[in-house]
Amino acid sequence: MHRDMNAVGGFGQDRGMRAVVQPGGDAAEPHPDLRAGDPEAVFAGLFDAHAPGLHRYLSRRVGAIADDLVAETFLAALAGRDGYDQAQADPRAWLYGIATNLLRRHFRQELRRLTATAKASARDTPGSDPGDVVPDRVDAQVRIGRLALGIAGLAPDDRDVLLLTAWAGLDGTEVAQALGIPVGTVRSRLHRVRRQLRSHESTRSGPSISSVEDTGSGND
Amino acid sequence: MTDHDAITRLWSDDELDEVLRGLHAETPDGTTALATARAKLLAAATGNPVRVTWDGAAPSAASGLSAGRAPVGAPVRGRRRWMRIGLAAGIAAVLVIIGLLVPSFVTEHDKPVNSAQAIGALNRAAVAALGATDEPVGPGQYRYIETHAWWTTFSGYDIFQDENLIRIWVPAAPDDPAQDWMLDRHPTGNRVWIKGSEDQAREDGTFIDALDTGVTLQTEAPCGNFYSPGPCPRAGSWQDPTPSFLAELPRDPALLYDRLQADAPDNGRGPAELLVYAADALRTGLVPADLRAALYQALTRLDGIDLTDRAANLDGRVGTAIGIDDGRFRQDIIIDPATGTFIGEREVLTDDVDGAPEGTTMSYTAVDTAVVDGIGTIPGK
Repeated sequence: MHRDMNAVGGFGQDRGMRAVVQPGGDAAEPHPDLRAGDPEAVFAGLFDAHAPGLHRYLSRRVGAIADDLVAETFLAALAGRDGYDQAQADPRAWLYGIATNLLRRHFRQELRRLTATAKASARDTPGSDPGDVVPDRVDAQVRIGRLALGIAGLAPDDRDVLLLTAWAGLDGTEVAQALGIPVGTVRSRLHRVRRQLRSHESTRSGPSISSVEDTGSGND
Repeated sequence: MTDHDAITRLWSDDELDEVLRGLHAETPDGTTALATARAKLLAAATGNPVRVTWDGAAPSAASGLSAGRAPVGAPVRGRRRWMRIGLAAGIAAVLVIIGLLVPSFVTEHDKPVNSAQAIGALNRAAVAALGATDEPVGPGQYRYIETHAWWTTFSGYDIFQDENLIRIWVPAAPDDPAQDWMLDRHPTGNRVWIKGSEDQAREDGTFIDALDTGVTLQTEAPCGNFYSPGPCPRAGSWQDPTPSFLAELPRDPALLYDRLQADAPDNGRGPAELLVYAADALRTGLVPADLRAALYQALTRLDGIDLTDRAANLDGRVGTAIGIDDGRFRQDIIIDPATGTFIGEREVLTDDVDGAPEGTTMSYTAVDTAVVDGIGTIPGK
């Protein structure tokens, strides 16, 4: 099954190809040891510290599925705690990395939300034709709709970098740890994606936002 | 992708941040959901097996945890599956989580050399551009700039490119508030599938109809302020090269290189970003011949500049591609060394990215200019 899914999907392979063992590690500052001590106490602390923020982040991305995803993320973290290396990653970055991978299964739901937002913003802007630019009336509503479409059209990796930064509030190092990519790549990718989105506002719009609800929903 | 239309003044970073903050900002109260999740977690932590719902065809907890091998973005077609998180799954997960945690790093390459062929081609183009004169735009005439732009859209796991045709008429005095520019742009309907197909995308339920393919707009405005009112004249930038901006740029290649370096952000792309900035200005079709010559020569100073294609074809026009690779994307400009003409620019993947294979041209613009006698007049028609 795994192979089938990769054959069809194939996303994220570049990350795997770039994962290289760093000799000696880079123990910048100590993080809690999730492997030692009473797992109940350790993970209760981890949950209380990070679950509310993670839930908000996931809600913004995929809506109500966030309820399940938060639970799945922490259960997966618990199950995989022996693989957590306190010298290598901040626990928050580690959790968001797990959540990011779980999120990928719900990309349809995410695209549906983003396109629905764009559709609603076009509907709520009187006189706006979704096929046209409205030069003098680019209000917040229209902008949100356009941004939603811009984000929907991003490469999935780019979307993760952008939203982990803008919505989850992770810094470059944390995003790098969460996604398993170099910090420099995070910076350059973030720059590119912001540039792309900024140009979306002024030069690309005009979604023919039709039948968002009518299209297939898959299993997400 | 680089900026799509350098004539346009861009959304500022602050504006982008503001809208990002507002998008999907209202989230439901998670109190109940969090209490449930916490209870499940603590039950599992104390060794009580918990039944967890997994969406999609997850073969194990492991597949959802691996950064490198997770079927992220893969289609979810399987049935809802129940699984038991326990010791066995934990051990399996450990093996792949290691992949997630181990930080990757970029190998330090030797300092890239400037390819002799690239420098030669740029210098030849510079000499040719110096000897050329741009066709003058007389009173009542317009400089006509036609751009064919292909941009990539990701839609879930399908990837396609749409063509946009952008025509701009620039009056003889571009800075004169009394002389209108004209813009006529639209998606042509030409679409190329990089990954998947239209039938496949519809079957998969991705929202190709909802995604952005381009603006349809026909409008006139002084100073090219097509998208929003603005000062006329205005200062300009590499992305928005107004006559005053272009006039103020140094014609000495060394000074122009310094200026490019000062203006381009330090964003981790290294010298590739300098070429992006040069391409931003060049693809507007507004850069005069003497400045083109200086810019070509300035670009010979970029570390890693390389001749990447001797016969790059953009919309049927063939030229020499000069580019810089940042490890993931390569920015190319396409020029004709014999005439100094700028033909276009493109962005090519130099690594597999999100299902698009290495070598994929992610976006390109082909630019052609002419002088015409009236606003809205198309050459040869």
